[in-house]
Amino acid sequence: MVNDEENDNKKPSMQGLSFAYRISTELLGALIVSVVIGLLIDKMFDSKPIGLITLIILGFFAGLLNIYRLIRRIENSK
Amino acid sequence: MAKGESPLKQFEIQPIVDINFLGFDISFTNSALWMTITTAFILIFFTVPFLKAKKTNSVSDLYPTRMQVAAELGFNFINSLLADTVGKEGKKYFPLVFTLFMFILFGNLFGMIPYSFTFTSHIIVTLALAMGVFIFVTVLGFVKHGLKFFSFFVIPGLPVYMLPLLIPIEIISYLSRPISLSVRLFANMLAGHTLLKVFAGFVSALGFFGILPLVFIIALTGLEILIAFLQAYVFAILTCLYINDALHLH
Repeated sequence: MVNDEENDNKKPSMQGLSFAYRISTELLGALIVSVVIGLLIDKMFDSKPIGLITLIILGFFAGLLNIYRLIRRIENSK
Repeated sequence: MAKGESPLKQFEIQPIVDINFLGFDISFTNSALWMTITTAFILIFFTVPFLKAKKTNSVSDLYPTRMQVAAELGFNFINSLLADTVGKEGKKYFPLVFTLFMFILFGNLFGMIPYSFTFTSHIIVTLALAMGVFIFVTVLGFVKHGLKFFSFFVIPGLPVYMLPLLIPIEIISYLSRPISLSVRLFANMLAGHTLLKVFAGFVSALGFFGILPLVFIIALTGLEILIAFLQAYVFAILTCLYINDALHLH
């Protein structure tokens, strides 16, 4: 019970802080993965730089999708 | 910073015992030392209070000791976290989440001791942890659902002509999980400890007015301890969510 009270007090600052870090890393993580996959595709099919460009665009959308899901989850839990 | 010591020097890995095994450098470093200390401390923290309670058999046994309360607080915290995110089936995965949470939490907290070493500030450590979670969750998904696990990448109720575009996006989004999980922990620790060292440099450089950055450092230390808890919590809750995804698919 004590634990719950503590959590309630901490919630606003803690959630805000973790929220900011999570949004940035979700976007960054998706971009890092897509750049690596894009470079590998270019190496395999010798198609520089089409694979990289396509994967970066896809990766950006994947990052946005991650952020969308994160925000939806937080909104649902409220 | 009288001698111009870099604020990044604290992250340097120094071998304590040089070990060379089949051409691989597996020296016992300061990073490994602090991991060992963390693990040993967790083992002591969770066995000692319960060992004592068994030995004696008096009325005072009914009242838990302070250490026991602290240990049970951590236990209940992860227990309720799993119950909230995964549900009843989550009980099975309690050891995994609990071990991860405690290891990261005490790793972060021991890093706050002056002259210690924060092993969570190295991406190789956090990435290894995150990859472990990622591989576990993927294997779990395949074991539970077989090939149906691939339907995880298809959003239900979507027109067919959108699938060629959205399946790659879903796959990238799935693969980015370990990266974002590890980068978040590593970047928080690295940035926080570098900031502390930079402001510590200002204290000696400013002479009398060094008291201003000193006050700031005190506040920053409190914030860093909060972040140590927060990042361990975020790592644990995301592990729970990924387990939930693997078990229930959407």
